[in-house]
Amino acid sequence: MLSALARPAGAALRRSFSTSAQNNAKVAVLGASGGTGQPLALLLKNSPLVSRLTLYDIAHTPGVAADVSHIETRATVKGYLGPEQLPDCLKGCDVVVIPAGVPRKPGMTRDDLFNTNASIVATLTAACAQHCPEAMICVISNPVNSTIPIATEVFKKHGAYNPNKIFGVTTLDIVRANTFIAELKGLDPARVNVPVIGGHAGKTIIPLISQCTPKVDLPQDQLTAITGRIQEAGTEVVKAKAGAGSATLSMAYTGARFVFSLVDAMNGKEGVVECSFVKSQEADCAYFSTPLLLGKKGIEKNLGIGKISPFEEKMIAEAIPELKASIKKGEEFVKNMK
Amino acid sequence: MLSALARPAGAALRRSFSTSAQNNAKVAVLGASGGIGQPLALLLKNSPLVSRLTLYDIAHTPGVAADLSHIETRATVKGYLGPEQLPDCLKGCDVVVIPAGVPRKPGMTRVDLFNTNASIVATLTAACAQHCPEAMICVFSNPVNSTIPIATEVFKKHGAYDPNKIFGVTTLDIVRANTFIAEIKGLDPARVNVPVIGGHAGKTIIPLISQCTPKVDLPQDQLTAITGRIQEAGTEMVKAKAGAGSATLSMAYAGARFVFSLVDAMNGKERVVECSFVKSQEADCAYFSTPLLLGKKGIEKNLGIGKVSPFEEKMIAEAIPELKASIKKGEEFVKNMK
Repeated sequence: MLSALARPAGAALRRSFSTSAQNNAKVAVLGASGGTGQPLALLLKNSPLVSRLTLYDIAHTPGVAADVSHIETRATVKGYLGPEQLPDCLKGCDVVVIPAGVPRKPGMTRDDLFNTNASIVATLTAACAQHCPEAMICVISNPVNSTIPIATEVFKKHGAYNPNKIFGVTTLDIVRANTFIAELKGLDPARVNVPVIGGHAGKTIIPLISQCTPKVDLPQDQLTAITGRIQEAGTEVVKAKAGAGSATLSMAYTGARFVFSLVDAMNGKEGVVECSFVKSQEADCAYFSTPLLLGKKGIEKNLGIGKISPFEEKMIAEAIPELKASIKKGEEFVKNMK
Repeated sequence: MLSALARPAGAALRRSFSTSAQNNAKVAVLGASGGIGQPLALLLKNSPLVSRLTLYDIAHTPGVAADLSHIETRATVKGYLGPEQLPDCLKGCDVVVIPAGVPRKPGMTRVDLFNTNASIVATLTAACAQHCPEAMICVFSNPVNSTIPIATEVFKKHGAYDPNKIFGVTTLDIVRANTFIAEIKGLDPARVNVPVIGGHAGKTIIPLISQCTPKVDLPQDQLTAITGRIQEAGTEMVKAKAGAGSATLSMAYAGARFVFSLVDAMNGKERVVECSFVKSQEADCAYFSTPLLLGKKGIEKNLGIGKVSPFEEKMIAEAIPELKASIKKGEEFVKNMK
């Protein structure tokens, strides 16, 4: 037998890009038993950045936690089941990721999910405000354009609001833009970076292809087509799943990507930039997604919209009314809560 | 805006440990819509080792493929639905991974799955023998102690049998052993390596803790307890999930680990070693799992059992009858097929 039974390529699954020494992130996943929550928990457990993973849901979490706990990485894993156990899930957390909620069925818009998911997000963020008010809050639950205002108003009610720590996770739009542009131009998607700003629904999703690295040139008809495809990609997956759900695996990928970026930045890594839907002054709108420089305390600097094309300028202008309406809907929901 | 919108820690999700230049593995997942298949497909899609991912199942594959295809990595992804599409899924594949089948419910043994899963594996491996006879075949479907003999007899029937290319994936036993030993000794599980030999059910699972690196010393009572825990970990999982299934996420992790090892070895990486249940002459039994040196053509060298303790010697002797019975059951099944 070979003397060094070298750990084989499994290391690929557990490698971290982090250059920081402190890899002790305590991460909670709220909605860990769901279609996105489970693969997300898997990706988080695989990372040496995470030292503690707490999984919460209203069903199945003991089984999911037992499953994930067998993986040969350092993070401890514990499952929490039901509202009475939620506080213990949250105490001491550095980052809370919230994929909880119902997904779209064919024909539904993200807004159609509002009634169910608004309550879920309000309840969960209230618990966060009480039990881990210093944590970074990453909301995946749709409609993000409304659930981030909801999270904000709930944190304000508890006197725990920090605008630099509440993030609407829109990373999947960026990932999709990278993939589609790469496909069109015959590039390796791992090397393409397209910022996507605005919001996280239909025409509020604004890819800034003019800012793509590497630089790409597209005739207007292709630009329009690919912009439309990025905006409707979520719907494309809902249709393809024909009632079985919406994007789960790609959402898990991007949720993990965002969390790792945040944790790296919290650990002191420099130059970490992600787009996210946050409280903003970058557009005529209270919340707006732009590239953000992340740091130890969340948002270190909002890098703003930058230089854009007339086509993109127009999209922003057209997105603002819908964004304002969604934001208002979220704020009103919290105002009218018991 | 920072001039280099550097790809953030998402790279962690897509990094490969491979030192080889040729990263063009065409991998098929048969059973891609299931509890293991979906997260497994996610991990495979995330890897730069994979250039083409084809996903087969009897339901939902178009949706799963659409979902995964949005991830910003190079592998093309295509879904195939139903037996008529299976040949196209397989043609040109380098590696075929088979998680297809039904999982245990509480109170069931892996043998109880035999009737359903035997047919599934026979059908799928027949298609492999016809459409990708040169591919590496990695079977997860339980009971592995029988499904590997089934795969073998099916390949023989089609005149395509290569004993160096049919693998029963037992990696989860190794992963669990690493995790449990690390836990008990306060070590980082990523640095623990315990070979596990024999088979993949109950007492046929034989952890060689005497060969653990780093070396660990355990009193006999702890040794017995932890050995029992490793052997029953799958059942522990089935109970914890209380009817909702068996290990899925950890199985996806372990399965991906095995596939990456195999692909690295096929790409020319040296000293890649994994345990797997294969045709063997290492024990008094036609099939047996031991550490294998992997290479371009699959098994390069069987590294054998090595030096074992009396306690481990005894376990091997006691496992042989059960292994022989399971192997015979698999062989008889194929013999009695139409």
